[in-house]
Amino acid sequence: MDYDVVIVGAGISGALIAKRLGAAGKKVLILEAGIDGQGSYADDLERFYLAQAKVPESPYTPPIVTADASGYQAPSNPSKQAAGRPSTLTLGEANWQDPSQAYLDQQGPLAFASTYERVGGGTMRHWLGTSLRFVPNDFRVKTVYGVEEDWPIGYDELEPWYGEAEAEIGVAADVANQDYLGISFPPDYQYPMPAIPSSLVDQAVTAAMPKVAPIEGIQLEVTNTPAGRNSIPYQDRRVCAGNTNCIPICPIQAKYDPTVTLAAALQFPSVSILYQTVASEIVVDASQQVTAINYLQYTDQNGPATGSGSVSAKLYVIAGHAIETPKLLLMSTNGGLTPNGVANSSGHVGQHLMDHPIYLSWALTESPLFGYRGPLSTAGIESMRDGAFRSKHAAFRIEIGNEGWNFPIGDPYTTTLDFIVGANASGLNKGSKGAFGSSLTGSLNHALTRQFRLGFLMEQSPEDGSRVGLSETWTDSLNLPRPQIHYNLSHYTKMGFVVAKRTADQIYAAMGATQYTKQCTAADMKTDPTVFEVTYDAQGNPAQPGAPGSTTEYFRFYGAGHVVGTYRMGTDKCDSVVDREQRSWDHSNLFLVGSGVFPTVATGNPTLTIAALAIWASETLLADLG
Amino acid sequence: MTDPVAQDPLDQFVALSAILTGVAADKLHPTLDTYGTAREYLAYATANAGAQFAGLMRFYAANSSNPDVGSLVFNNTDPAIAYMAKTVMLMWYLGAWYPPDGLQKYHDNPQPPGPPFLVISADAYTQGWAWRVGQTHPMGYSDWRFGYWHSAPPPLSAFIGA
Repeated sequence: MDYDVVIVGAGISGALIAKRLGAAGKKVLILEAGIDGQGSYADDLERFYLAQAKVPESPYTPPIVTADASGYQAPSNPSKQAAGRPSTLTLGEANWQDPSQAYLDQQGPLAFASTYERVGGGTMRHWLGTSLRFVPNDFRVKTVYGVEEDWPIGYDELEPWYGEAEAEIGVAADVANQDYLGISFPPDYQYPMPAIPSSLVDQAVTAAMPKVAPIEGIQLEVTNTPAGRNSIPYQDRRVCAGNTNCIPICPIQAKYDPTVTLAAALQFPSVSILYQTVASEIVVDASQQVTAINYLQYTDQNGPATGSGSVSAKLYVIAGHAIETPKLLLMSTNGGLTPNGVANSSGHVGQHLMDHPIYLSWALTESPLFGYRGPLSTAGIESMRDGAFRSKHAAFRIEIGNEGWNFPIGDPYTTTLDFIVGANASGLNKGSKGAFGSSLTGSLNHALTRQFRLGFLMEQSPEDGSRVGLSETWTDSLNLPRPQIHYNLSHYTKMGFVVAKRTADQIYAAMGATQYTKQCTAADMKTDPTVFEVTYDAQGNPAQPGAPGSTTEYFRFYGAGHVVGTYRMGTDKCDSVVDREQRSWDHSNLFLVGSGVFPTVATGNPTLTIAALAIWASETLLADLG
Repeated sequence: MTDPVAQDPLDQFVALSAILTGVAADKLHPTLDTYGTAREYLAYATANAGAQFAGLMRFYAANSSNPDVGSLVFNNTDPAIAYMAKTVMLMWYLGAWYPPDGLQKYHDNPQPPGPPFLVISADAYTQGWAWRVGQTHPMGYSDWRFGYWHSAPPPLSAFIGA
């Protein structure tokens, strides 16, 4: 036995568990598919500055783009990369199913629009910092509303672990305004840091709230967002300077990312890590115990395997995120001993892939509210995360953006081009005339200081049709299969978009703002795999397009990066992959952690819950090790 | 101290740039120019659009005393001059090089994804004026302090000096 515990993946879950085990003197090895993320920080920042498309993945490696002889960047070929991953640059009609550009083998009918990283520190390298707790009813939606699935754990059980996660991450918030919708804290609890100040955009939305009529009987309210971002110096890192760049990279690391915890874990002499090491098979013996993990290694990020090995331990933890973890489980057939993959007697490995598909809307206010300042988001509207309506349609939270129209239309680039070249892609240069001098500065200033956006993060219901499998023909440079994705949204989820749009319309009207959200059409749906159609009757039930009394609407959705649900926890080994301890039902020395264990995507950004569950799992691992 | 022969094209470039961008010359090219942006852009334009860029600068030199020189350049009926001017403006605004012919094509047929461009350098990105015209800083490059976003920024004139 080489180690007490082998962990696959050095993201938030792997790093937190390694740190806890290391502190207890346990011998731990982490296998990380990507490169050392802490060592590359300066290069990552430079890559971001030089990127032509500054998408969430742009700073990290392997580079999602490759430059041609003239310097123009186009999507890299993932078949030639050792540890590739998806990119938001490959969601277009022309390339979303092109194996030489798109990493994921997407089968549709809709595109899975979220991405992740394979690098030390994991996908949280490009997280926003939002550190919300879930609301208690998120854990019991089936019991309370008769929809989706219950979790095998409740808020009260998770609560102490939320507190530990908030300390590890360093969350800035004020308890006084976080106790909504049943969220509770122990007496005298305080977040590790004072709240991040609200932005002028937040203040403008807040001022309009009393003028917004209740939605489904619920009065909307703006709440400061708990953030994994320093409001005072914490863990030897600096205070946020408002770089407005949490995604894709904080230039001063005032935003927490898991390389912080990983570095702390690696301070323990019993914890070590192998980078550029891709787990390729979980080895199981006839007694259904995991006996080893086989891996491949590479030297060049665009090259073949240059080495291989096998490592054994008492316990094994797979923390590879909700797409690569099921991929590894499904690849592990053990020469026919586990023909459907490891931990998959239920057949649920890879099933119920979820996200928070976003309804994005944007508007221009009458007076300046000065976006493009401060962290990307400092407040949201949490009021619609729970209510009786959940029996009929998806719940959502509303994220207030501090970055103008950067997310919706790539500003300030688009509007600047409009005013200089004489075009109107933004909708803000109606005469399509070019301008220079004070006319230009006046027009551009008027536009940029009045732009803002609202993002509605929709609770997508778990569906059997949305799943991760193995591509039969698409591989990477290690000759491992790439993930195959089937993805769709339910009527329940789509009706959330209908209500989100109505809500956005009312908020903008109350603010006296002019909306510029692009309305989608049937034609958009034919060409854009992120556009869907929904037809409903007067009660919101599904209807046939064109039926009397029915309404048909078209929506574009965006990925939230909240990849969830592919090896869910449950109370029954027939319809879940792990138990409430995140232990495989099939293999008692195998733990699967991360957002894949979520039975539902719930209504908050997933990170804090991922972290809380990982810390909880580390306690179970320590108990097992004795 | 400085070579007057070498300085002249830089001064001309900065003067024309100030007229086109609406940003004061001493903001584009301050006395203590930490980033050397004006020099960088002059060299970049010369290297990447030599003859066309020289044509723009010649036209400006010949008309620099005309009070309407900005309009004469920006609205010039010769697209070689008008679009070269827009390319120069976009260098300053976005720290990026948009070749003039790509801008002309985009103007004539403004379809996504927009005209092709290259980021001139990491420093160029951080010195983009579009952000300052919006009374802010480039995303990912703030030299402001914690909490500044809670209150209003200084007036536009404090950013662009004009």
